[in-house]
Amino acid sequence: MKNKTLWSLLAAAAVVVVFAGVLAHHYIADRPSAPPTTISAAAPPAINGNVLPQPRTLTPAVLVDDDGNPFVNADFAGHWSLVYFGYTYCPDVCPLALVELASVKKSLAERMPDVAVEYYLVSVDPARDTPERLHAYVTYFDRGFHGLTGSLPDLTRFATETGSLFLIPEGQETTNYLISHSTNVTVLDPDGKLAAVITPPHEPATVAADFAKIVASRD
Amino acid sequence: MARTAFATLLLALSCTASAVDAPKLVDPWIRATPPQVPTGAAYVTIQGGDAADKLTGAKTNVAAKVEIHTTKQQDGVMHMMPMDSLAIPAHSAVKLAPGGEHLMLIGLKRGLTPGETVTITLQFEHAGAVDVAFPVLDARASEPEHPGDHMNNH
Repeated sequence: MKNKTLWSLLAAAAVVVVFAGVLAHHYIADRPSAPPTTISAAAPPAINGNVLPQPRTLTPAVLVDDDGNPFVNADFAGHWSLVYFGYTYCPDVCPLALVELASVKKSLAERMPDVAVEYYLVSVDPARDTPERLHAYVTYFDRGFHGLTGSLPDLTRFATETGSLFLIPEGQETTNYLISHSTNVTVLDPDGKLAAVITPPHEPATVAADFAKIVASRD
Repeated sequence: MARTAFATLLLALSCTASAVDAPKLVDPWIRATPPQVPTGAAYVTIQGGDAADKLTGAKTNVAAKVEIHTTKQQDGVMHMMPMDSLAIPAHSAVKLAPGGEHLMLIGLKRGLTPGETVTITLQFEHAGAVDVAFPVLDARASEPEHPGDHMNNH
Protein backbone atom coordinates (compact mmCIF):
# COMPACT_ATOMS: atom_id res chain seq x y z
CA MET A 1 0.00 0.00 0.00
CA LYS A 2 1.26 3.49 -0.86
CA ASN A 3 2.12 5.80 2.11
CA LYS A 4 -0.37 8.45 1.05
CA THR A 5 -3.26 6.01 1.10
CA LEU A 6 -2.18 4.63 4.47
CA TRP A 7 -2.04 8.07 6.04
CA SER A 8 -5.48 8.97 4.61
CA LEU A 9 -6.90 5.81 6.08
CA LEU A 10 -5.35 6.53 9.47
CA ALA A 11 -6.64 10.10 9.41
CA ALA A 12 -10.15 8.92 8.57
CA ALA A 13 -10.01 6.34 11.35
CA ALA A 14 -8.87 9.01 13.81
CA VAL A 15 -11.82 11.20 12.88
CA VAL A 16 -14.22 8.34 13.38
CA VAL A 17 -12.71 7.48 16.76
CA VAL A 18 -12.86 11.08 17.95
CA PHE A 19 -16.43 11.43 16.74
CA ALA A 20 -17.47 8.22 18.46
CA GLY A 21 -15.77 9.41 21.63
CA VAL A 22 -17.71 12.68 21.56
CA LEU A 23 -21.00 10.86 21.05
CA ALA A 24 -20.24 8.41 23.84
CA HIS A 25 -19.36 11.21 26.22
CA HIS A 26 -22.52 13.07 25.40
CA TYR A 27 -24.92 10.22 25.78
CA ILE A 28 -23.30 8.12 28.46
CA ALA A 29 -20.99 10.12 30.64
CA ASP A 30 -23.40 13.09 31.00
CA ARG A 31 -26.21 11.02 32.52
CA PRO A 32 -26.99 12.36 36.00
CA SER A 33 -26.00 9.97 38.69
CA ALA A 34 -29.11 10.68 40.81
CA PRO A 35 -32.58 12.01 39.94
CA PRO A 36 -33.26 15.69 40.82
CA THR A 37 -34.76 16.23 44.26
CA THR A 38 -38.48 16.92 44.35
CA ILE A 39 -40.99 17.62 47.12
CA SER A 40 -42.66 14.27 46.54
CA ALA A 41 -41.44 11.19 44.75
CA ALA A 42 -44.86 10.85 43.09
CA ALA A 43 -45.83 12.80 39.98
CA PRO A 44 -47.68 16.07 40.64
CA PRO A 45 -51.49 15.66 40.79
CA ALA A 46 -53.48 16.25 37.63
CA ILE A 47 -55.64 19.38 37.95
CA ASN A 48 -57.34 21.85 35.63
CA GLY A 49 -54.07 23.65 35.15
CA ASN A 50 -50.51 22.89 36.20
CA VAL A 51 -48.89 21.82 39.45
CA LEU A 52 -45.19 22.60 39.48
CA PRO A 53 -43.01 19.58 40.30
CA GLN A 54 -40.77 22.00 42.18
CA PRO A 55 -42.33 25.11 43.82
CA ARG A 56 -40.77 28.24 42.40
CA THR A 57 -39.35 31.10 44.48
CA LEU A 58 -40.61 34.51 43.33
CA THR A 59 -38.42 37.57 42.91
CA PRO A 60 -38.69 39.76 46.04
CA ALA A 61 -40.74 42.89 45.59
CA VAL A 62 -42.53 45.39 47.78
CA LEU A 63 -46.19 45.62 46.80
CA VAL A 64 -48.88 47.67 48.56
CA ASP A 65 -51.88 46.10 50.28
CA ASP A 66 -55.40 47.50 50.41
CA ASP A 67 -54.69 49.25 53.70
CA GLY A 68 -51.90 51.13 51.98
CA ASN A 69 -49.17 49.21 53.81
CA PRO A 70 -46.09 47.64 52.21
CA PHE A 71 -46.51 43.97 51.38
CA VAL A 72 -43.39 41.84 50.94
CA ASN A 73 -42.98 38.28 49.70
CA ALA A 74 -42.58 37.06 53.30
CA ASP A 75 -46.17 38.19 53.88
CA PHE A 76 -47.29 35.33 51.64
CA ALA A 77 -45.71 32.79 54.01
CA GLY A 78 -47.51 30.92 56.75
CA HIS A 79 -50.62 30.16 54.71
CA TRP A 80 -51.64 29.07 51.24
CA SER A 81 -52.51 31.95 48.93
CA LEU A 82 -54.98 32.01 46.06
CA VAL A 83 -54.14 34.91 43.79
CA TYR A 84 -56.24 36.40 41.00
CA PHE A 85 -55.00 39.13 38.66
CA GLY A 86 -57.72 41.65 37.81
CA TYR A 87 -58.90 45.23 38.24
CA THR A 88 -61.84 47.10 39.70
CA TYR A 89 -62.96 48.75 36.46
CA CYS A 90 -63.58 45.32 34.97
CA PRO A 91 -67.37 45.04 34.79
CA ASP A 92 -68.00 41.37 34.16
CA VAL A 93 -65.08 38.94 34.35
CA CYS A 94 -63.55 40.11 37.64
CA PRO A 95 -66.78 40.34 39.66
CA LEU A 96 -67.64 36.86 38.47
CA ALA A 97 -64.20 35.54 39.44
CA LEU A 98 -64.39 37.07 42.92
CA VAL A 99 -67.88 35.68 43.43
CA GLU A 100 -66.52 32.28 42.46
CA LEU A 101 -63.54 32.64 44.80
CA ALA A 102 -65.84 33.63 47.65
CA SER A 103 -67.69 30.41 46.99
CA VAL A 104 -64.41 28.48 46.95
CA LYS A 105 -63.49 30.06 50.28
CA LYS A 106 -66.74 28.90 51.87
CA SER A 107 -66.28 25.43 50.45
CA LEU A 108 -62.68 25.11 51.67
CA ALA A 109 -63.60 26.43 55.13
CA GLU A 110 -65.96 23.49 55.47
CA ARG A 111 -63.86 20.92 53.72
CA MET A 112 -60.43 21.67 55.21
CA PRO A 113 -60.93 24.08 58.14
CA ASP A 114 -57.39 23.48 59.44
CA VAL A 115 -55.71 24.69 56.27
CA ALA A 116 -55.07 28.43 56.33
CA VAL A 117 -55.82 30.09 52.99
CA GLU A 118 -55.79 33.79 52.09
CA TYR A 119 -57.23 35.33 48.94
CA TYR A 120 -55.67 38.16 46.95
CA LEU A 121 -56.82 40.29 44.06
CA VAL A 122 -53.63 41.62 42.49
CA SER A 123 -54.33 44.69 40.41
CA VAL A 124 -53.26 44.84 36.78
CA ASP A 125 -54.33 48.50 36.80
CA PRO A 126 -52.12 50.36 39.30
CA ALA A 127 -52.95 53.69 37.64
CA ARG A 128 -56.60 53.53 38.70
CA ASP A 129 -56.68 50.94 41.48
CA THR A 130 -55.66 52.78 44.63
CA PRO A 131 -55.45 50.79 47.89
CA GLU A 132 -58.67 52.44 49.04
CA ARG A 133 -60.48 51.50 45.86
CA LEU A 134 -59.18 47.93 46.10
CA HIS A 135 -60.24 47.68 49.74
CA ALA A 136 -63.83 48.73 49.01
CA TYR A 137 -63.94 46.34 46.05
CA VAL A 138 -62.47 43.12 47.50
CA THR A 139 -64.22 43.36 50.86
CA TYR A 140 -67.52 43.67 49.02
CA PHE A 141 -67.11 40.09 47.81
CA ASP A 142 -65.72 38.75 51.09
CA ARG A 143 -64.69 40.61 54.21
CA GLY A 144 -61.48 38.60 54.38
CA PHE A 145 -60.29 39.20 50.81
CA HIS A 146 -57.14 41.23 50.24
CA GLY A 147 -56.09 43.56 47.46
CA LEU A 148 -52.56 44.23 46.27
CA THR A 149 -51.18 46.91 44.00
CA GLY A 150 -47.70 48.30 43.40
CA SER A 151 -45.44 49.61 40.70
CA LEU A 152 -46.18 48.48 37.17
CA PRO A 153 -42.78 46.73 36.79
CA ASP A 154 -43.26 44.81 40.07
CA LEU A 155 -46.80 43.77 39.17
CA THR A 156 -45.74 42.76 35.67
CA ARG A 157 -42.89 40.66 37.03
CA PHE A 158 -45.18 39.00 39.57
CA ALA A 159 -47.63 38.12 36.81
CA THR A 160 -44.97 36.86 34.43
CA GLU A 161 -43.24 34.74 37.07
CA THR A 162 -46.52 33.09 37.93
CA GLY A 163 -47.53 32.45 34.32
CA SER A 164 -50.01 35.28 33.84
CA LEU A 165 -50.20 38.18 31.41
CA PHE A 166 -51.99 41.49 31.27
CA LEU A 167 -52.17 44.05 28.51
CA ILE A 168 -52.73 47.72 29.33
CA PRO A 169 -53.66 49.60 26.14
CA GLU A 170 -51.39 52.50 25.28
CA GLY A 171 -52.30 56.04 24.41
CA GLN A 172 -55.67 56.02 26.10
CA GLU A 173 -57.48 59.35 26.10
CA THR A 174 -60.17 58.43 28.58
CA THR A 175 -60.11 56.67 31.92
CA ASN A 176 -62.51 54.04 30.60
CA TYR A 177 -59.98 51.68 29.07
CA LEU A 178 -60.26 47.91 29.40
CA ILE A 179 -57.38 45.60 30.25
CA SER A 180 -57.11 42.09 28.84
CA HIS A 181 -55.66 39.76 31.43
CA SER A 182 -55.12 36.12 32.29
CA THR A 183 -57.80 34.73 34.52
CA ASN A 184 -55.82 32.04 36.31
CA VAL A 185 -56.14 31.21 39.98
CA THR A 186 -52.51 31.19 41.07
CA VAL A 187 -51.61 29.07 44.09
CA LEU A 188 -48.73 30.02 46.37
CA ASP A 189 -47.68 27.56 49.06
CA PRO A 190 -47.07 28.34 52.76
CA ASP A 191 -43.44 29.16 51.89
CA GLY A 192 -44.73 31.87 49.57
CA LYS A 193 -43.56 29.95 46.51
CA LEU A 194 -45.48 29.32 43.32
CA ALA A 195 -47.04 25.87 43.68
CA ALA A 196 -49.64 25.67 40.93
CA VAL A 197 -51.74 27.55 38.40
CA ILE A 198 -55.42 26.66 38.11
CA THR A 199 -56.65 27.65 34.65
CA PRO A 200 -60.12 28.95 33.73
CA PRO A 201 -63.04 28.37 33.75
CA HIS A 202 -63.39 28.48 37.50
CA GLU A 203 -66.30 26.36 38.59
CA PRO A 204 -66.01 26.77 42.39
CA ALA A 205 -66.42 23.03 43.08
CA THR A 206 -63.62 22.22 40.63
CA VAL A 207 -61.27 24.86 42.03
CA ALA A 208 -61.87 23.62 45.58
CA ALA A 209 -61.25 20.02 44.52
CA ASP A 210 -58.07 20.95 42.65
CA PHE A 211 -56.79 22.94 45.61
CA ALA A 212 -57.46 19.97 47.90
CA LYS A 213 -55.39 17.76 45.56
CA ILE A 214 -52.51 20.25 45.64
CA VAL A 215 -52.51 20.40 49.44
CA ALA A 216 -52.78 16.62 49.74
CA SER A 217 -49.80 16.13 47.44
CA ARG A 218 -47.66 17.91 49.98
CA ASP A 219 -48.40 15.56 52.85
CA MET B 1 -116.74 57.01 18.96
CA ALA B 2 -115.69 55.70 15.57
CA ARG B 3 -112.43 57.62 15.81
CA THR B 4 -111.62 56.08 19.17
CA ALA B 5 -112.50 52.64 17.90
CA PHE B 6 -110.35 53.15 14.83
CA ALA B 7 -107.45 54.42 16.91
CA THR B 8 -107.78 51.47 19.26
CA LEU B 9 -107.84 49.09 16.30
CA LEU B 10 -104.72 50.67 14.85
CA LEU B 11 -102.99 50.49 18.22
CA ALA B 12 -103.99 46.85 18.65
CA LEU B 13 -102.73 46.02 15.17
CA SER B 14 -99.42 47.76 15.72
CA CYS B 15 -98.94 45.96 18.99
CA THR B 16 -99.70 42.66 17.35
CA ALA B 17 -97.32 43.37 14.48
CA SER B 18 -94.43 44.24 16.77
CA ALA B 19 -95.19 41.33 19.10
CA VAL B 20 -94.79 38.91 16.21
CA ASP B 21 -91.58 40.36 14.77
CA ALA B 22 -89.75 41.89 17.70
CA PRO B 23 -87.28 39.96 19.83
CA LYS B 24 -88.47 39.11 23.33
CA LEU B 25 -86.34 40.16 26.28
CA VAL B 26 -86.32 37.50 28.99
CA ASP B 27 -84.81 37.57 32.51
CA PRO B 28 -83.05 40.93 32.31
CA TRP B 29 -80.82 41.78 35.27
CA ILE B 30 -78.00 44.09 36.21
CA ARG B 31 -75.24 43.10 38.59
CA ALA B 32 -75.28 45.45 41.59
CA THR B 33 -72.07 47.44 41.56
CA PRO B 34 -69.38 47.07 44.22
CA PRO B 35 -68.51 50.36 45.93
CA GLN B 36 -66.79 52.99 43.79
CA VAL B 37 -67.00 50.98 40.58
CA PRO B 38 -68.12 53.17 37.65
CA THR B 39 -68.68 50.36 35.15
CA GLY B 40 -71.56 47.93 35.26
CA ALA B 41 -72.81 44.90 33.38
CA ALA B 42 -76.35 44.09 32.28
CA TYR B 43 -77.54 40.70 31.12
CA VAL B 44 -80.64 39.40 29.34
CA THR B 45 -81.76 36.58 27.06
CA ILE B 46 -82.90 37.86 23.68
CA GLN B 47 -85.31 35.55 21.90
CA GLY B 48 -85.47 36.21 18.19
CA GLY B 49 -88.90 36.84 16.69
CA ASP B 50 -90.08 35.69 13.28
CA ALA B 51 -87.54 37.86 11.52
CA ALA B 52 -83.79 37.90 12.10
CA ASP B 53 -82.65 41.10 13.77
CA LYS B 54 -79.56 42.72 15.22
CA LEU B 55 -78.92 44.49 18.49
CA THR B 56 -77.04 47.59 17.43
CA GLY B 57 -76.79 49.57 20.63
CA ALA B 58 -78.37 50.66 23.87
CA LYS B 59 -78.65 53.61 26.17
CA THR B 60 -79.70 54.40 29.68
CA ASN B 61 -80.02 57.42 31.92
CA VAL B 62 -77.80 55.99 34.64
CA ALA B 63 -74.67 55.72 32.49
CA ALA B 64 -72.82 57.93 30.04
CA LYS B 65 -72.96 55.17 27.45
CA VAL B 66 -73.77 51.52 26.93
CA GLU B 67 -71.77 49.18 24.73
CA ILE B 68 -72.28 45.58 23.68
CA HIS B 69 -69.25 43.60 24.85
CA THR B 70 -68.00 40.10 24.41
CA THR B 71 -65.30 38.27 26.33
CA LYS B 72 -63.07 35.69 24.76
CA GLN B 73 -60.25 33.50 26.17
CA GLN B 74 -57.40 33.56 23.73
CA ASP B 75 -53.74 32.61 24.22
CA GLY B 76 -54.05 32.53 27.99
CA VAL B 77 -55.66 35.96 28.21
CA MET B 78 -59.28 37.03 28.59
CA HIS B 79 -60.06 39.73 26.06
CA MET B 80 -62.98 42.07 26.57
CA MET B 81 -64.04 43.68 23.31
CA PRO B 82 -66.83 45.99 22.17
CA MET B 83 -69.07 44.73 19.37
CA ASP B 84 -70.77 46.88 16.76
CA SER B 85 -73.81 44.66 16.80
CA LEU B 86 -75.08 41.34 18.01
CA ALA B 87 -77.00 39.11 15.58
CA ILE B 88 -80.33 37.82 16.84
CA PRO B 89 -81.37 34.99 14.50
CA ALA B 90 -85.08 34.32 14.10
CA HIS B 91 -86.52 31.94 16.68
CA SER B 92 -83.16 31.61 18.47
CA ALA B 93 -82.19 32.66 22.00
CA VAL B 94 -79.08 34.72 22.47
CA LYS B 95 -78.10 34.81 26.11
CA LEU B 96 -76.06 37.67 27.53
CA ALA B 97 -74.59 36.17 30.72
CA PRO B 98 -71.58 36.57 33.06
CA GLY B 99 -68.34 35.56 31.41
CA GLY B 100 -69.78 36.04 27.92
CA GLU B 101 -71.63 38.77 26.07
CA HIS B 102 -73.00 41.58 28.17
CA LEU B 103 -74.12 45.18 27.99
CA MET B 104 -71.37 47.26 29.53
CA LEU B 105 -72.59 50.35 31.33
CA ILE B 106 -69.82 52.91 31.11
CA GLY B 107 -69.51 55.98 33.27
CA LEU B 108 -72.18 55.13 35.81
CA LYS B 109 -73.55 58.25 37.42
CA ARG B 110 -74.19 56.43 40.66
CA GLY B 111 -73.85 53.00 42.23
CA LEU B 112 -76.56 50.48 41.41
CA THR B 113 -78.13 48.88 44.46
CA PRO B 114 -80.13 45.66 44.71
CA GLY B 115 -83.86 46.26 44.64
CA GLU B 116 -83.89 49.13 42.18
CA THR B 117 -84.87 48.87 38.54
CA VAL B 118 -83.01 50.55 35.71
CA THR B 119 -84.50 51.13 32.27
CA ILE B 120 -82.20 50.39 29.36
CA THR B 121 -83.39 51.18 25.84
CA LEU B 122 -82.17 48.48 23.46
CA GLN B 123 -81.80 49.47 19.83
CA PHE B 124 -82.58 46.83 17.22
CA GLU B 125 -81.97 47.20 13.50
CA HIS B 126 -85.53 46.18 12.57
CA ALA B 127 -87.54 46.23 15.78
CA GLY B 128 -86.33 49.69 16.67
CA ALA B 129 -85.98 51.02 20.19
CA VAL B 130 -87.25 48.76 22.97
CA ASP B 131 -87.38 49.90 26.60
CA VAL B 132 -86.55 47.13 29.05
CA ALA B 133 -86.73 47.24 32.84
CA PHE B 134 -83.59 45.68 34.33
CA PRO B 135 -83.81 44.80 38.03
CA VAL B 136 -80.56 45.30 39.93
CA LEU B 137 -79.61 42.07 41.66
CA ASP B 138 -76.96 41.29 44.26
CA ALA B 139 -73.61 40.69 42.61
CA ARG B 140 -72.69 37.97 45.02
CA ALA B 141 -74.34 35.26 42.93
CA SER B 142 -73.13 34.39 39.46
CA GLU B 143 -76.61 33.55 38.26
CA PRO B 144 -78.90 35.23 40.75
CA GLU B 145 -82.45 34.14 41.22
CA HIS B 146 -84.97 36.43 39.60
CA PRO B 147 -87.86 37.77 41.66
CA GLY B 148 -90.24 35.62 39.61
CA ASP B 149 -88.47 32.40 40.66
CA HIS B 150 -89.60 32.73 44.26
CA MET B 151 -93.19 33.28 43.26
CA ASN B 152 -93.25 30.20 41.06
CA ASN B 153 -92.04 27.98 43.88
CA HIS B 154 -94.95 28.76 46.20
